[in-house]
Amino acid sequence: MPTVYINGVAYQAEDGKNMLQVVLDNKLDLEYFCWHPAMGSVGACRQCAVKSFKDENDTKGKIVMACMTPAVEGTRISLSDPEAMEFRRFVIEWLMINHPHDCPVCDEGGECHLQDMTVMTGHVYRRNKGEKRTYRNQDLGPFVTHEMNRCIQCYRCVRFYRDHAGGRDLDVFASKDHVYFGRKEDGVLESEFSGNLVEVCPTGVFTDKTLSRHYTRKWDLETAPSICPHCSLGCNTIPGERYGKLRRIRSRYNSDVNGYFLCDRGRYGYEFANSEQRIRHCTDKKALQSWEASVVRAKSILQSAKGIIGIGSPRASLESNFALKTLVGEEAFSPGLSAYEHANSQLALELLNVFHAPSLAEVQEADAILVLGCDPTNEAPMLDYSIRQAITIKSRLPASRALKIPDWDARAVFTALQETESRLFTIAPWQIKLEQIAKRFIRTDYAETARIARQMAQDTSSGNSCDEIQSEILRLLLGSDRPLIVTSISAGSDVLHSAAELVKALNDKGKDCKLSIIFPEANSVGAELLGGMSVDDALKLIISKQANTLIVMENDLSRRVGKELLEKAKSSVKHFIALDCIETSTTRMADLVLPAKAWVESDGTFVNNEGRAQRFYQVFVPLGESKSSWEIIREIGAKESWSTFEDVLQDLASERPEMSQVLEAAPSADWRSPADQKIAREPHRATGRTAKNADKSLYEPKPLNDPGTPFAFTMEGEQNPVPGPLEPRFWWPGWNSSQAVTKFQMEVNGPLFESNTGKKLIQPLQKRGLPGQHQSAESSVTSGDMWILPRPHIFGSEELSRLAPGIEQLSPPFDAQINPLLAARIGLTEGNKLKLYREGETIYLPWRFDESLPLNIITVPAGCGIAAPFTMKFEEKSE
Amino acid sequence: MEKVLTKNIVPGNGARGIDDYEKTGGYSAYRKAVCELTPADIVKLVTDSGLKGRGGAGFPTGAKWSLTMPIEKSARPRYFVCNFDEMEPGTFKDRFLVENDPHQLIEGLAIASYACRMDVAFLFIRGEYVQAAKILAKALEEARNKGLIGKNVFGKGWDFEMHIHTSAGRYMCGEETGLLNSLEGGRANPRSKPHYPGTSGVWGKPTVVNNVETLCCVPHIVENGAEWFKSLGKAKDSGTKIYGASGKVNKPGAFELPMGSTLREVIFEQAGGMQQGYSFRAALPGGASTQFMDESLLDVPLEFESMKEIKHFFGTGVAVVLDDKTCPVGMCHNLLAFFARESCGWCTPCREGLPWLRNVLLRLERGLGEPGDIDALLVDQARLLGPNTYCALALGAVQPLLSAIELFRADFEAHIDLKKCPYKQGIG
Repeated sequence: MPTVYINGVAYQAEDGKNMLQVVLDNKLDLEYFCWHPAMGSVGACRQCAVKSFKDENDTKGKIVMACMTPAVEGTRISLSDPEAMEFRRFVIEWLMINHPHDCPVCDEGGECHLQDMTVMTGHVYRRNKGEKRTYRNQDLGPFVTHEMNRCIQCYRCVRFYRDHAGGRDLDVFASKDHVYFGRKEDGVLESEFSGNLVEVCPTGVFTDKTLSRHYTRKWDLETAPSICPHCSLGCNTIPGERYGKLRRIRSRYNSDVNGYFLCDRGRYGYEFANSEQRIRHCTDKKALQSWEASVVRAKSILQSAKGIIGIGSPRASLESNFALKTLVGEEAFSPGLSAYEHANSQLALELLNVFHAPSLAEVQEADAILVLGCDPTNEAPMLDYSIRQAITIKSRLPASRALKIPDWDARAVFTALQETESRLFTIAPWQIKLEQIAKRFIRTDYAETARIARQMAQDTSSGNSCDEIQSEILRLLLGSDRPLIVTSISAGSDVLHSAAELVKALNDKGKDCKLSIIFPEANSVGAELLGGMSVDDALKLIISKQANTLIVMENDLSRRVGKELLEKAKSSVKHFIALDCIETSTTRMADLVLPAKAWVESDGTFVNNEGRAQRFYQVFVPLGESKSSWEIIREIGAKESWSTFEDVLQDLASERPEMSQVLEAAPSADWRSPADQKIAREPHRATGRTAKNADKSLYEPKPLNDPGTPFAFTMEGEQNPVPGPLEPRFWWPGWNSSQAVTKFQMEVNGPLFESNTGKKLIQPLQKRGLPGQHQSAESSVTSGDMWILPRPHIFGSEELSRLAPGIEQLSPPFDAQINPLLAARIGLTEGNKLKLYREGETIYLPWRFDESLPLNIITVPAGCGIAAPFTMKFEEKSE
Repeated sequence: MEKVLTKNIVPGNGARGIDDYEKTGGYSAYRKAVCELTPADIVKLVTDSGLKGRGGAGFPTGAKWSLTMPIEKSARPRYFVCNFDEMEPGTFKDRFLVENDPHQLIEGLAIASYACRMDVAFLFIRGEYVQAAKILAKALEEARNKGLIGKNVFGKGWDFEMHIHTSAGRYMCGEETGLLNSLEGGRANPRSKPHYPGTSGVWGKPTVVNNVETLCCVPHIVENGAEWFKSLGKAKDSGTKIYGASGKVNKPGAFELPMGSTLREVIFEQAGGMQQGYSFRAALPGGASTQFMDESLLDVPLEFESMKEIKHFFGTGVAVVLDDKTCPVGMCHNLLAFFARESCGWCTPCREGLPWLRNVLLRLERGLGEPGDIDALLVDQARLLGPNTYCALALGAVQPLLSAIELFRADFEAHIDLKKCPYKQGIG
């Protein structure tokens, strides 16, 4: 640990850091633009200039850039040296030559890093007499607004987009004082991570287009810590609300999970919460009905019921699922997954008990990765991002470290490792984006995928395989220290099991091999941990008249089971109660519909794909009459003693002691600041509470009481840093932008103050043997069978985010995809629909070509009701 | 006076072919190097000769070669790059050498590649040097046909390749590391120091970059020895130098003289003095990135060491002469317009600071200057010095202005007082 001196004060620095990091680690202020904690230093903006001194006798010193100065023993810098301060003012002056004076009408205003840095340097007067430069802006699609005139050329956007997120269509053009950051021509940004440009850009070049349609300044947003509901990774988010409308999502830093970033589904899927499809009131047989009457009605249904089946949901909170399970009893509960997903999830949970499931941060540390039968980019996009960091940067760092290049010196690092080899192989049924960075890839069906994995598991002892690619993959895995196998529930139990066999074989060889399994939805793991049966089995109980009443909570069953089964169940059931926040084909089938809160309107816990329980808190009071599902269930007959979600969790913990860690995922509701205050959901600069509703009344409304959480629905309360899991936003005196996050980290890129959000509920025991393999449908495939595989897409496959207009715009058509050669072989011609037979049901689908598909695979869009892969035979055209 | 690099050049005769070149002893140094000397011998020879980089910075060539990562520890392939992106304003020495005697460069590059044990050499040519590129391509073909480039050269197991790459045409492509990025197909932004090309150069592999004139010296050093080369210099630095002059002189051109010759010799002897009706005012001694030298400095030896002593840059050695009928403010504006245009746009001070200076000078020229502008210029240009910028482009760019304000302050003030450029008739 070298000792360095800043403004004459000695600090202990960690090895391998630069001086800007050390300055920020110690919560000192220093202006910067091009440096980013996740992207390192490039020395372009020259803003973090400080005076460096050789030793204590050196009084002259010289200007250096803190971000490019290694923090080695005895480094001495001064932040307050007059010459350095003057130079930092000059840099702002240069940047302001062309930066427009449009802060009042700029979406970034009030959370602009450039504003903050300008104020910090003290630059005030304009000396420049020339005109300002003008650019033509581009239409970059539904998510990101482009205003190049504000650009200060820090190069962060292209570095994030190209070097880190693997995008190709955003670049820097031209040169001198006319460099241009944009696309070759107008068009939708291709990267799944384009929304991060909004947070990466230190000023208003890239802003949130969805926010601008219902714009609110940062200081007027009511916020609370939250978890993304749109896939199983559990990225941390900060939703912001005003006047009952969800305005935007920002990334909420979590060094274990999503780091600083989010995918576009996670950032822009939020608009479902404002959608026309929201259910805001109770209805009985489509007629509006009061809460009271609806509760009475529900209670009488349940009392007279001859068997109640409760179907929960992988998109509902752990609390709500547990409440439903308590209401209907273990035997009558389904966590709401299809038979295929349920069986595979149960197997996967067993595997989580054997192998360490890596966090996204741990994925980035893998030094060899095999993607097995899945498409991370479309199923769990931030996993793609983490794999990219591991493969394109981190696993190659030995090359730059050998040249003594520090990891933070980003451009030198990229120069050094540009010709090193990829340590990624992918096996997937269709073309996946990660193939672009893979050393080699295979496209094949799930049975063959499992066979390959199994073969490799057997071959680990010899280290050789008779197949050339397999040998190459084996060599890579055996030559690494921290290999990682990535697979998914969607690939089926055969692939899951074979992946486990491979992981075990590698671990037997002394490797620290991890297994990352993608689950279908935000709380699939949480719901499945409660046990129960599949949706198919639950509906069969209704059809066989073993129960006559069905409660479906936050679940659209048409996504889980075939039409036929659902219709049979509908005609067999006597009473059908649905709870949901959005209208679905299931709520349209139900008699009694009760409005559930969307996730941002309620408190609860999601358990992510690695078994990490993470708390999300109510951000705002919704319009209408909705309640959290667990509250509704309490009112219609579960435990009356539950007053907060923590009461529900207490019961869960006593019933399932192995899950009791869930209580520790975040501080409890009685947390108070040292000044005995709750945490204010509104920032201290929020437009005053008496003014907010002045259009309606001059009387100040009493803030809503919130006994269930340590938060208050006001601007009054704790505004200073609070424990990480409770931090509602990043805002620090002088740091209004998201760059303020470094003030809340224990050190740059370290955990948040006290701790990150979340607690792992599953601790693997390596000595446990592999679970036995269930008989799976895949193993009975005969040759000549065609595989019909549900294919996910980042936009469109997930139920809630699909309702956001931007996501909808980018969703691909709901088509089957087929290789043209196969289409010709089975006589599929234009204008005809593709005809599929499954379990006696005939399905007709529109289709389009995908030349990259293997000749025995046809894909259908995930979420269209075909929940599981199946095989079938086609008649071949004889010609 | 011994001519070395231009000994066999007869201006107007065109490029010398390989037969002609070999007749005058060409490629014998290469043969000697590969057949009789070890790479280490050559590196030592060049180190001992005191050869310094002729691109302008004057870094000792032998030191650069010995700082290259040793082949035992090195990733392959290793690259040698000849920097022929001669774009310094007023400078045409490399073009003169290549267009007349291309094989001298190829031989130098081949020996240097052998000495540094490089696998591949690139000739990185300024985009506008179309003629030179054609000549080099032909010469390269001739050398390859003779087995001087390729596998097992001279039967000694020495394999190496040489390629031509024509630049996309930016001043920054001539900056050592900007060149490497450009060669890779990227933007000509400079690279992060202190991670030098010798360890991580083009495509992350060990790379040496040398100027054309530097490489042209190498065969002669191998042929005649280090001591001989040292003895060629008149003052402290070794060898000969291609000097040159442009401006209102009688015989503008490039001339090979002993290293350490003076401006007086270059301008008043070689270039034939000032044209009728013009008198000498000052000169930029080595391209546009150097400071003006007036009459008082006419007898300073033009070489790296002696210039350092008077706190000047030597630069490329090709002088741009300012006469008494040309406006020094206008000249500074012209040069800064060039540098502002050629900034790569990577770092803030250079990207924004150079256009700022250009605009102030343009206002002065147009008679829109205001009192205080000159002092502000002094402050604003000082902001571009030293480590304040990412590379040395801006540092070089402000050199003419820095010295012009000192030497010709009265001219600057006249622009403000008269509200016009005093050198222009009827304007203002």
